[in-house]
Amino acid sequence: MSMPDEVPVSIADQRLRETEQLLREAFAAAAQSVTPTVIRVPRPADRLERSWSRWLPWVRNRRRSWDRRLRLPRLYEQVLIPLAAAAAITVIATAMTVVVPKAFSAARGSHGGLAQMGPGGVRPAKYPARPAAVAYASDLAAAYPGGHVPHAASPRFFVGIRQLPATSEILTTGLAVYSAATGRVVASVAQPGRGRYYQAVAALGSDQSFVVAATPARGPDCHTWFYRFSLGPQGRPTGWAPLAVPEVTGEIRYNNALAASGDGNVLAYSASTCTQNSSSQVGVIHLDTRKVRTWSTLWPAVPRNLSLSANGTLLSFVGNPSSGTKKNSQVEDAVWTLRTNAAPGPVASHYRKVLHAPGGVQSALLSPTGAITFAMTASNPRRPTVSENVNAYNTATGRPLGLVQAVRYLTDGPGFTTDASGQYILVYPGSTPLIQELNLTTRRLMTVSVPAVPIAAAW
Amino acid sequence: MVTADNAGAGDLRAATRARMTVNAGELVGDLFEYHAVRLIRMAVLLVGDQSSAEDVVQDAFLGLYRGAARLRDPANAVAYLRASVLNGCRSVLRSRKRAWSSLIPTHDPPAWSAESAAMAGEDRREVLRAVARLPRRQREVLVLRYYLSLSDREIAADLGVTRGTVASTASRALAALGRELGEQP
Repeated sequence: MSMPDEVPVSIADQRLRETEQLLREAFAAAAQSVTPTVIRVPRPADRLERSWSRWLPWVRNRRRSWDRRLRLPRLYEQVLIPLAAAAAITVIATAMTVVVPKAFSAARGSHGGLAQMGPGGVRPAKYPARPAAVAYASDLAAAYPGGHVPHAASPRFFVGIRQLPATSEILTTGLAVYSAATGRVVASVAQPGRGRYYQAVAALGSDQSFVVAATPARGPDCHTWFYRFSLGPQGRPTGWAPLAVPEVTGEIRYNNALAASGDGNVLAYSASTCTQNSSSQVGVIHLDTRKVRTWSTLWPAVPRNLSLSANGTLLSFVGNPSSGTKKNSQVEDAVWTLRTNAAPGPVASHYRKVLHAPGGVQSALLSPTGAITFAMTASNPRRPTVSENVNAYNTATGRPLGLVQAVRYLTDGPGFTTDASGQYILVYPGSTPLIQELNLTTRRLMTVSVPAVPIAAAW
Repeated sequence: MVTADNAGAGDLRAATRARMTVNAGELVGDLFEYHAVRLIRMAVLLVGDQSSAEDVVQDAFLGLYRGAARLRDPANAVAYLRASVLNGCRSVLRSRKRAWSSLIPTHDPPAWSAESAAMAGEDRREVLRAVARLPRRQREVLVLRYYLSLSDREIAADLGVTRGTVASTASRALAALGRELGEQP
């Protein structure tokens, strides 16, 4: 296990510089909407010095005529302002002597001083300042327990699996800890053991703990090993140990075929059983009881991109809708959900389709409550490698709730994962040296370049 | 050619001094050519809509026109205009707050106009929305510092505060902005 020295970078300074740069770009972009051609103020020379304009004020924008505005102050100063002042004094005097006493007496008599308050003594909310944002927030509220949209700090680090140079045709991977702000690798972990390589990783709860799955590098062995570890304050992995769970029969073959619940109690995986009929299974491990429940699938159902609700009761995955019947294998991938308390058996007997989309669903994940599914679909099915849309859907009905953000410049099949709070999504293209961090609350998307391409990631 | 956006301070001072002896109309006309667009852009960032911004800037130029005779050093005309625009923006926001406090937001960021929507991406619109939620003084400091690229000394002169106040206001604004944008500055 090799861990490089901590990178001496001030995250606070880095983010401050990024904020300043964002400000400059935003101001410049907004200011560019005002161009000399769209300004409706005539040039002063046109109004102050050309006598003809005095007689043809309607030729141009009358409201902004320099001549008229020059004359206006006299009217304001000599007539309107004194009149307005007198009227204001009259209104105030009337209010103080007549209206206010009546209002106070009415309030005391009928409502005990809560006349202006709503149920439970709560003062009615004012008109929302930003209706568009409120509408989105009201939709998003269902995604979080109690309807409380989190405003958590974004994760400082994410863990990624990166491919290392192959030796003797044996695939090798390494585990790296990246700074979420800068994309730099702050620590790394070598192979888990001789003949094993990292295949998938998932965040385990909210305390910077992770679980990583490793599989055999070669040979007939069909097995998956799980390890867990935590990150220290500076991103250094600590507490590395095999995860004490029953043996998993099968081999995780997809980098996004591992998920953990937000409470850190449930682990879900999809693994091939390495049999001739190409069967695979979806499994759920309850870490507190160490009980395992599995559901079988057949090729080409291939569940991948697993996601669990925060309490681990609902599992979602992306897969082919053939349900393992070997029919319609060319049909585009859809999103499915499965109750984790469903009886073991064929997954097709228990799962339910959430949505499908033209061009297929690339990735999907559940909100902490499971009520909302965030799915990445191709915005242009004919060019799925250029732009993807992250959309929100009602998990129960599949009804689209709206576009969260367009994620551009990705390669085919990007993966994404969420943090324990369910507020931040990490998008990892898998083949290009960048990752994108999406804040679901603000819809802000930040792109960070990384020196080593992660083929799987979690935070 | 010197345009509204690329006119340097030296160009401006030279042009202004050259006009010291000419009448106020020509002085205002020259300054308008050089600075109207930039000032309107600044006002748009502060009040949120172009119409109000144009009114504010035009009022500032009218004020300069009326007070040109009292202007001791015409080279300070731009600083005077900038301060006038800032005051005008505050007046607009105050009047909106008085008249429409229960109906519309005091400051509608320029993030939703068709023009800026076409030019600014969602990230930038989000930044503008976050700026719009800041207190007025912090918003002014950010616009003066990051749009007009003024020094803290110039900002302090425009706002009538000390340089230390400018620095601390900017620091608080950036911290608040970082939090608004889901970051920890």
